[in-house]
Amino acid sequence: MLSRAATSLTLFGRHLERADHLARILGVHVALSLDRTDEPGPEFWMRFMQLAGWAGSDTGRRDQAVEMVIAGTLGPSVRASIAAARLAAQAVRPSLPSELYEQVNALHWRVQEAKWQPDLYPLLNSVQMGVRMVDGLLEDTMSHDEARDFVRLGKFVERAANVTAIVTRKSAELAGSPEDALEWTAVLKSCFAFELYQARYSGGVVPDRVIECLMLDEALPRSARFSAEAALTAVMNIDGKGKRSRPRSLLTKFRALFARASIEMIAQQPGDFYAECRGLLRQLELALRETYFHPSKVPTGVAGDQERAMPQQ
Amino acid sequence: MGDLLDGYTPERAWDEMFVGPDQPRSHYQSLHQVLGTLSRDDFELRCAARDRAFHDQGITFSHSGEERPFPLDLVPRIIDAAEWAVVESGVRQRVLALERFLADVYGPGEILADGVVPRRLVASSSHYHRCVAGLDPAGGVRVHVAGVDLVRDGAGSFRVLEDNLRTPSGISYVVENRRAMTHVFPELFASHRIRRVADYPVRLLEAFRATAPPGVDDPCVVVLTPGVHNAAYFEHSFLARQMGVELVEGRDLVCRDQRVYMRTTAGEQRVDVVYRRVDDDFLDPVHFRPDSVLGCAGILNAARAGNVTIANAPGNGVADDKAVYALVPGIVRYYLGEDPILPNVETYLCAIESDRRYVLEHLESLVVKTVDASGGYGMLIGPASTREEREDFRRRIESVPRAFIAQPVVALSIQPVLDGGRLRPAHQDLRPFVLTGPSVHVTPGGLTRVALKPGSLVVNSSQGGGSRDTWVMAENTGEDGGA
Repeated sequence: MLSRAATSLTLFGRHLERADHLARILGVHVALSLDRTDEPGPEFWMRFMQLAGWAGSDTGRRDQAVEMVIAGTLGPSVRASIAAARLAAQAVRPSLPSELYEQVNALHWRVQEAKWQPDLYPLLNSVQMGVRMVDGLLEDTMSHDEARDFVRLGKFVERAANVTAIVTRKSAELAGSPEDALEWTAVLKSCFAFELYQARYSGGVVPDRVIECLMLDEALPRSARFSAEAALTAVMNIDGKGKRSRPRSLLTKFRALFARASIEMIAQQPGDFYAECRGLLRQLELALRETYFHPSKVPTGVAGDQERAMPQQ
Repeated sequence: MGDLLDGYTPERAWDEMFVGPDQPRSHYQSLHQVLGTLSRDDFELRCAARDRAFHDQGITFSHSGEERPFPLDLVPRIIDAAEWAVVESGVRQRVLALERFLADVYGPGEILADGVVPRRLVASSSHYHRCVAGLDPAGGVRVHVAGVDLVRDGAGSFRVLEDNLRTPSGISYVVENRRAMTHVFPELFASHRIRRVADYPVRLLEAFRATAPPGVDDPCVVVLTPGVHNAAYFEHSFLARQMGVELVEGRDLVCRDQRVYMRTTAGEQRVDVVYRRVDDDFLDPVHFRPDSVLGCAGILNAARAGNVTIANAPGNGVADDKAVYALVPGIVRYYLGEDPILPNVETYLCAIESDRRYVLEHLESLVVKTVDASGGYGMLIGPASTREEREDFRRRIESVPRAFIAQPVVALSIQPVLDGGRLRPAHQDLRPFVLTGPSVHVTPGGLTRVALKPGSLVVNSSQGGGSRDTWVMAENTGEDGGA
């Protein structure tokens, strides 16, 4: 497979996962802000913006937060993530089944043209279902080969990072306030895990069990540990038998981080755990570039800048 | 009874569909009957279905940086079998002659020595590249893909308007237009026997494999694109996908020891045939524009060494130079000893003093074209021009006469297009595609480009043109029909 195609496929998986994540956490936080007796203060939305990846944002109002996370251009947004996923898909269009590309394209236009006032939920639901549809097409119409493994690599690395961020941040933020259970419920819902949690644990939503469920569960597809395992499997498939690449070594360490971790360790020192994860993921990014994506070091904007000089016959 | 055709009035040009008011030509009768049952609302609904499909499928082109669905008018063009036979022989003859011309110009130069084509005209072409001289392409093929633009004059005769031998585009829309039409108008396909176009990518790949460097059993073919921002990127990715080959950008390729490789996750992989959709100027910074990052440094040397086939070959532009176009009938006679089956449009070469004088005296009634431009740019359409535009062209012609030709205005044939719920006439041309590999193959039909602006003669998509599906009817000999 072309190295550039591997880069684009990984980005495709990553951006789609990010769009799904943003749509989900936004929906859950808007619901959380409405389902209470008093309007949450600005710090609620500032914390949400941090969680959504808008570091340094001082947005303290719901309408602003919604606007920025759906359509903002200065930080991660649903619209920008889907546009980036589509651009990545375009760059590898011959590697993707037509039906899959068409779904991404249709989703892109739906989100580009969508209005989200007064009712936000149809749009967020459409994004999440659109991403599910692409996931399904990926599994059912695409050959289970290297191309699919690069998409899964991007998707699961992104998911592991997102889940780790949300759980460790909430662990640090929530210090036994009466609304703990509500906020932890929101965390579970943000990770598609509330119903599973309810089915598995009895006795209500408590932080330790949420940490166990979202960080350490081996079977929940939204857990950080499952995602780390899935990313490692993708790289092992890409490498083939017998090869031990640097990304594989790093993902083995990443997986081990969750296998070794205890609930107490994450609950008591969430910042340290998060920093360790981030450090490994940064190394992984470099290793992926050096191992598979090397030619993408050429600036990607150059080709587009010159195309106007080249009329087609 | 529908009202779709009510009020359609042919103009003073050859109407493809009608002999007179409400009198369809014989090969359009069946289509006319079906359209006659439709109301405007029915037709609008089908247009909406088409728009939705093109939008979601990403069948688009880039217009001034904006991504737009490629406009397809739902009234197909029909060419009967007998007429198509003439067109097919005509474009095949022309491509064969131009292939010989290119081999000669970059080889012994006999046609230049014999004075049939002035050496100066060739040497002064901006698309003539000395660095290509002596290049001996595999199988002797330089023009793997050609697009020959035809127009029908007022008498209904097809004439060649220009040749495209570098990177002709549009075939993906031919195939996708057909696919869309089978979805939107299935009943029309049940009542017509139409020759298929869907096998184009298979034939294209066959042509490339047949012209791979000698000794390569299973050649690796790639499509080289300038990237996702190029106006024709949809076509590049479509062809790569349909052929099952890699779509590469310049940064994916590297030349080493006069061989071309692509960078893959498993290391470098040898490439044998590059179907480049990148202009000569950007193809190889060693020989052409040194600042280009769209091509691959050293690819021309690799081709010269016989290690890679570049399709189409570099330097082909000298044969589709609009000044050389005027001499193509003579080129056909010189190499093939035959009269051209398809005539040219009468052409004045501004490089010739008497022609130039005539052109400058008749700017108001002529179409002036820049010889190395394409896409409908660099043109003056005299009858629609302003005094300032004419004066600008006059200065430019006087300054560089070689850069211009002129032709009388050809009233391109017309056919109905849907506009604002009504059918009105619109001008159109036809671009058949010719593939050269193990043999020469002309795709039945081609791209009919339609000038969607009322009264306009400019059919290029970059300037507001659209397209329609082009049906070549199968002969009643059991010949293959279908989508």
